[in-house]
Amino acid sequence: MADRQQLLIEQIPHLRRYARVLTCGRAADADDLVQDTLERALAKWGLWRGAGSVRPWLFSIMHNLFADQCAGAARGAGMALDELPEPLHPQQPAAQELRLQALQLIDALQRLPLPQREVLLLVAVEGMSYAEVARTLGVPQGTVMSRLSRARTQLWQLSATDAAQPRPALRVIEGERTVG
Amino acid sequence: MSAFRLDRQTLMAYVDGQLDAQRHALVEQAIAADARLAAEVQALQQQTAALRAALDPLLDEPIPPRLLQHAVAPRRQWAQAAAVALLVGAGAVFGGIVASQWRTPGGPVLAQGEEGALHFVQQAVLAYAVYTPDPRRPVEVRNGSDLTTWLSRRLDRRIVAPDSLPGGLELMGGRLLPGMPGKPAAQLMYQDAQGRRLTVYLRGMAKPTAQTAFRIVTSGRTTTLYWVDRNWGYAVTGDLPRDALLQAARALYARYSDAASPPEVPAAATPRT
Repeated sequence: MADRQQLLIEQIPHLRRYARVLTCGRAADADDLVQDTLERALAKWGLWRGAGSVRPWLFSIMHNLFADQCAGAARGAGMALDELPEPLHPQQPAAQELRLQALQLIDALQRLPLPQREVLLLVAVEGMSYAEVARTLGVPQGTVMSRLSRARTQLWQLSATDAAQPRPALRVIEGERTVG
Repeated sequence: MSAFRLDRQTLMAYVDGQLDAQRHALVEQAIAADARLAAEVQALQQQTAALRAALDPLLDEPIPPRLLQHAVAPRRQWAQAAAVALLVGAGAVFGGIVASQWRTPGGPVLAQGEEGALHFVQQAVLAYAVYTPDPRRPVEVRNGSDLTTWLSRRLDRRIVAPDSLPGGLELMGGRLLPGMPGKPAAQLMYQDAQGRRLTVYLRGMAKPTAQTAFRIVTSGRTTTLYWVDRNWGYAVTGDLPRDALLQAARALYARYSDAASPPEVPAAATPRT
């Protein structure tokens, strides 16, 4: 029992990150999605055979839940630039310029069509194999590769045109302080 | 070589590590001979690196307590209630970190590149919260068997587990936990004569960090003292007086370090003599 808890808890940061990108950074929506995913995973725990990592299985649950949500509401479309939600701003206290680049990239990522955004995130950020991504999303591997190729090209185009445009001001988030 | 086409998708699969050895070698030969191909591969690699750099910080965000509650499976009610209480308590630690009472004038601000430490401590405290109350199976492998051999092999480094720590803490055993991808974590558990338990959590860090001081994070009754030494993070967690934790941490540090000087001690914990 405790092992199941620990397995799930370990995946929460990854689930939250994936959900945040799926929901275009709407933090509350993203956490609702994570919560639904955890509930569904516990209810169907027997379906995960313990073969391989639990993460692709959890991602596939989240993908299906989000697809169901999207079927009704027209979610997942790109957001306008000035609607870029704050919670996705990177917290790393890197140089301002690096932060700006990261922000622009996230911005561009969120304007990719959802199917492209998903494969790019799963492959490039989560480091999953094409075969794993195909199983997770329930599409052929060839589709994964063509989506990925389009996603990468479009991301370049989006971030290249954005580079010259003014960006919203950044919020500074304080880091941890402790007695050293 | 017949059906091998060097298109964008093949280059992409190369960058994503999806080609078999033979094709991988073919692409390597091709990019060594063609600067334009090399540039395209580099651009793909940079895009991947940039996406990770932009999105990895999200992993270090504190987990909201409501999500922790939903990770706890429904089972015997008393056990579930106890687990939820502990997990929520652990979750509260991280909500409180930013506004930690340990912020003092002149205290060092978190240095660049240390974000991983937050995630690390979070894992350590959660592992404490999940396993110390387990009455039946608090450890996976008991002390006395091949505990350190097993952990050393799985973590690919020498793991030391002293039989006892200052304060009458005796080693119960340990367990292996998922830490970071490719970097499993070890948890050692100690118990004193009053049945109070302390855990030691250690794993490789995502990126090498210069040695840090001992740092303290408290929440309610639970205190964690942690430090990072090059590639490795160590966290000592327990419901014990801070001085007791500090003594245990020092003893462990001495066993784990070849270096002569221990980390700085938090001024508020114990004056250095």
